[in-house]
Amino acid sequence: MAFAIEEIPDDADLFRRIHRNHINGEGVISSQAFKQPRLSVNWNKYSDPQSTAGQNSAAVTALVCGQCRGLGQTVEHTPIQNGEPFGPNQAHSEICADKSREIIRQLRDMARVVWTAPGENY
Amino acid sequence: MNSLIEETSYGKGGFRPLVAVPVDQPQVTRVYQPAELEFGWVPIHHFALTTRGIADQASETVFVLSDQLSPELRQRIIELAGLRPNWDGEGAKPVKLSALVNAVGLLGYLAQRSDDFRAPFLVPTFDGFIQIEWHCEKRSLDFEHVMEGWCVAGTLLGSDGTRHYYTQDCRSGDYARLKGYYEWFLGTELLWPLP
Repeated sequence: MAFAIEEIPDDADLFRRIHRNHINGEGVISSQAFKQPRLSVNWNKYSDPQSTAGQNSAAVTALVCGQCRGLGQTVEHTPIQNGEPFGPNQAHSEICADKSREIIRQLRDMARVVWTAPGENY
Repeated sequence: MNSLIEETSYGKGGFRPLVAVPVDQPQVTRVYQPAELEFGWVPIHHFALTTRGIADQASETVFVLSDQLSPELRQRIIELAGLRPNWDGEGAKPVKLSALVNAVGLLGYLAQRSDDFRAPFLVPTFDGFIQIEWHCEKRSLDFEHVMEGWCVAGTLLGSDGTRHYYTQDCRSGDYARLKGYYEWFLGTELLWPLP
C-alpha cells in the first residue's frame, strides 16, 4: 500500500544528515550542508537520527519544521514508495524554496546535532 | 603481468594519489586542457604524457601550486580534488579544478600578507565549487566560490545572543578586498555592521 502524503506539524523535527565533508574537526557544520533548493530530510514521526545517517555521515542534525517555515521555506512530506530509488522511506520530506546566502546560514545556526558517527567527538 | 603498483608518495609533501597503475599497461594520456580553465589558470605542462589519469594529474597540479600552504591544508585540497561525481550521494558535482586553483591562490595571498593567518575549513559545494570558512566564538566568515567570483558571508553573534548576517560579492581576483573581510573576521577591520 502506498504511503499517504500528510501535513507535517510545526513542532515536528526534521532530521538532516551531514556528510563528513561538511563538518570540521571541531564539529562546526558548513552552511553548504543546507544549500539545496529541495533539501532532503526525514520527518521524526517515521524516522530517527540513527536511521537517517548514511554511510558517509559524520552527524545528523534536527531542524524544527515551524522554524523552517518561518524562514519562508515550505516543508513537504514526500514519501518514497517501495520500488522507487532509495525507497521505501515513509519519513522522506523536503524543505523547499530558494535558499539565499542568509537563509542557509540561518538553517545552519538553527540545526541541533542529535547524532554523531562512532568515533567522532564534537 | 597483472600486478598493480600503488603509488604512495609524491615527494616531500606526502602527496598520495588514489590511483593504481598497471605495470605492463601504462595509460598514455593525451595533452588535456579542461574547460574550466576559462576563468582560472593552470600550467599546461602538468598535463603532458603520463602514466596516470587526468584527475590525478589535476590533483598533482593543485598540490604543486599550493606549496606555500601548510601540509594539513594541502592534504585537504588533495582530498577535495579527488572527489568523484555524486560524492555526497545526492548528486553533488566534483570540485572544479579552476575553483581549487583560485582557492589556493587566495589562501596563498592571505597566508603571505596576514600577520594572523588561521587555517580555514575547506568545503566542497554541491555544484562543484569550494567554500572557505573560518569560525570563532563570535564570528564566522565564508568565501563561497561561484561562477562570477566570490560570495562573502559574515555572521556576527551580538551581545544579546542575536545573530547578524552580512553578505557581499567580490570579483575572483580582488584579493585585497577579500583580505579586508578576513581582517573583519579577525576583528581588526570594521566592515560590518555598516554605519
